[in-house]
Amino acid sequence: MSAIKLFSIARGVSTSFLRPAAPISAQAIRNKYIYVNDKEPSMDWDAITDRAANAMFWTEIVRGHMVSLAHLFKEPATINYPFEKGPLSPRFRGEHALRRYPSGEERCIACKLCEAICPAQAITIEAEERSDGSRRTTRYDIDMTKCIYCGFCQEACPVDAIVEGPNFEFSTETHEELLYNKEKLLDNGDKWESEIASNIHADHLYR
Amino acid sequence: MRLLVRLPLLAVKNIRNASSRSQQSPADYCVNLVKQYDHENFLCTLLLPNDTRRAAFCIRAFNIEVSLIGNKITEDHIGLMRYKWWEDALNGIYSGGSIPKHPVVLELNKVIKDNKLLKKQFTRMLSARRNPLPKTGFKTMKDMETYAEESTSPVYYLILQAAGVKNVDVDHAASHLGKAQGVVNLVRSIPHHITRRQVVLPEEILVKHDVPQETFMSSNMVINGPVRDVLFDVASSANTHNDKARQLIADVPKKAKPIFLPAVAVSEYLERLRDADFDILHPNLQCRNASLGFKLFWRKLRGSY
Repeated sequence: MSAIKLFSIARGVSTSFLRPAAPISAQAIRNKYIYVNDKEPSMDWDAITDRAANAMFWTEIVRGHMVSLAHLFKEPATINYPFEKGPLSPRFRGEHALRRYPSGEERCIACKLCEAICPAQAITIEAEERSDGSRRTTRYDIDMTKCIYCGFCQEACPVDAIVEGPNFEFSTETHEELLYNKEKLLDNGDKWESEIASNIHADHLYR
Repeated sequence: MRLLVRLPLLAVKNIRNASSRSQQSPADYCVNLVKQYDHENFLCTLLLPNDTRRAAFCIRAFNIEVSLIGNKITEDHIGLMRYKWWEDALNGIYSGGSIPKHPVVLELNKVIKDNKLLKKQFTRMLSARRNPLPKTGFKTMKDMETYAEESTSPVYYLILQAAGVKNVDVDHAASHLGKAQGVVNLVRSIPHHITRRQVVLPEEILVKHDVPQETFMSSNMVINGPVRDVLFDVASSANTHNDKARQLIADVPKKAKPIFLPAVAVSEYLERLRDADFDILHPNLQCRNASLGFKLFWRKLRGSY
């Protein structure tokens, strides 16, 4: 009851008193609005007849079926997933791989820059010198459940050894299978080398 | 016929064989790197005399390695780590310390020791690349030319050193060629830089023609009158330097002339840009020039560039 009283008081007071600071330009005519609520159905005889006819002859149901029929002849929007795959950007960051040189020698020189830059601390490296004097990793582990796929490891690698390849289908049933070691990563590199190499190609220098 | 045998067709065959998986030496790796990332300079370098070719491929491979870093990184501090790695590798080579087993570094080690190349030019290339390209483009045309000279001319100074040419006038021509090529590289990378929302053109010229920088950041870039004027100004600056390098041909000794062959590739590109009416996104500009190899070969036969 009191609410109604208040409302009526507000109605009585002039709007210029309630909003004295409003500048004149703010009261520009607003005719570009869009009415978003449901409209009241029209009640003249033409409209009522139309609605009755629509209901009687099921025109909306027929139109709905026509849409279904039209989609039968259209190319499907979906793909047959495990056999077909959607397009991937060349910069897609998927499963990791350790690459080799074309001579078969592994690229990684155990500089540990990827380990240092990894924000999730998912990479663990242990290294030692080989008999020929080259530094190589004895252990290169990535915890794929820690990895956040930011791609910093491949950006930091001075020899382009660790890369995030185009593979996104490496789900497993257990956690342990996602703790990758060096053999697994090198295997990935051998498996995906052609795709990885074709993603990094340019005709001229960019700078 | 004897000329044909002497010219580097043989070398091309060697490269094909070398790309097979079994035995790839660091030198082959450098050649393939140049072939993959820098097609025009690959053709030019093939036409160099036998004794300089190996060094030239190595120097170009180093240039490619350091210039690619900027494209691969998203954070500047990650780039600094990689530049530092290359700096350490160079220090290792010059101080005789341990060097990382990277094919380009191994090849550099050999080429530097064989030809007694100066460290100064390598560090110049590195430090030019280390400062990231300014996100909003260079301030003036002069800044852009300085960047081009610092990043590209050392390649030619080093190849000239490897060829045993020590002459200030030849270096002068190399400086102009480097500027021209550096600017052209930046111009033709505009479509690439659009995707990274990076403007490389100098602010000074954009202001002069009243073109906002956003024009060169949007994926549906419109090439209109003022944009053409901007590209014309930048391209004509590159053309001036290229012409200057060509005018200095009298100072260049005969054996060093093939080193300047990239001037042909630069002027080819600039002519194609003009024919496309400075439409930088024109498909003709995105594909390789099939006749470039023959033109370079012809120039080499005539002893000009």
